[in-house]
Amino acid sequence: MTNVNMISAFIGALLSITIVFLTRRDHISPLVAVRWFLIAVLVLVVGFFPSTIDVIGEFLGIGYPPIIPILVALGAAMIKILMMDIERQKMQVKLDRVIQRLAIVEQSVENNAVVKANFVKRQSN
Amino acid sequence: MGKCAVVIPAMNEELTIGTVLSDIKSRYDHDVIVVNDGSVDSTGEVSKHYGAIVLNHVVNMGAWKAAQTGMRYAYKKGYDSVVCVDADGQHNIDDIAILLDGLSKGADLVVGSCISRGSLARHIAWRFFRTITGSSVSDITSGFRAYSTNALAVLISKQATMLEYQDVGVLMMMKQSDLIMSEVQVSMQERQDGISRIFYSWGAVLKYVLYTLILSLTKSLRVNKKQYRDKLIAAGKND
Repeated sequence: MTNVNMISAFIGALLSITIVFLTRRDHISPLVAVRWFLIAVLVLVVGFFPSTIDVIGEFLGIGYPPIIPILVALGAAMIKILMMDIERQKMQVKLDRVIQRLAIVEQSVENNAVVKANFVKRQSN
Repeated sequence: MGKCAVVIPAMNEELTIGTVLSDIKSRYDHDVIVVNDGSVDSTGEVSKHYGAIVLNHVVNMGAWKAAQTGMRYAYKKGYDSVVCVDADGQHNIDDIAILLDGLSKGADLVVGSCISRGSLARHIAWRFFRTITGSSVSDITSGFRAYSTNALAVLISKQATMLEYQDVGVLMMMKQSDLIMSEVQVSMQERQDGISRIFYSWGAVLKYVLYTLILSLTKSLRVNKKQYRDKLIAAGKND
């Protein structure tokens, strides 16, 4: 096992432990943790069995197989960033609409319509 | 013509909002909704003093989203039409009647147009965006507009909340929803402080141009108008 494989295995192990810690402390949901565990497993496999990359490289006809994990990681990161932007936009729209609704509800409350109606109902009960 | 509301998005306009509100109140019976868009001055208090319905945004969201809040309120309260007016006194209040007249003739959106204003650069930008969007409206940045109930149903949608500005995006949404747009000539005053809320710096101009360019190019593709309109109306009703 070379130094590179050792480092790769170490990163995989560290990632797995971090995911367990973050899930236990409720910093990430179990659903998100599943994705990260899969990535940790992938890093561990590549770390302990680096020859798998050579096999894949030979199968795909790539002359320099070590580039494969880098390309895959870059591609995955790009997709993930795009998905995060989509998610952020959705959250922004939700937030904007909640602020708009809050302004409308606040006006109704100040106008006494909502608060008074509930109060009268409680008294009659 | 049924019940009409005048919607005024306002941010830090305590110096001018009073005059605008008293002008409206002295000429029309319409309810006035001021959307206080995160002001740090007394815009909200002054508006209340003049009898306006005040909707307070807890943070600043920009003129279009403030206008949309007013539209959501008006739609919910059963108003038949909405006229949007700027809080800085740029718009001639007498022209509200001209915009509403346009609605009564069957239009869903009437734009108060004043193409004599603006710099050469603004005119070039208007022409460019009109060409690529195929818009029939010449003054695409005018915020002086009247909307029918049909237009409101479309413009209170979530998709419309995604828009940053009230100009090209709104016009394209109207066009793709098969709603009728018209334009009337109105007069406009210069802003008293002379600084536009949208074009306040070169960076803001660049952001506007890039945003509008991408919006125009991506949204100018043909859509099934009825399907698109139904989708927007459903999205507006759902929350």
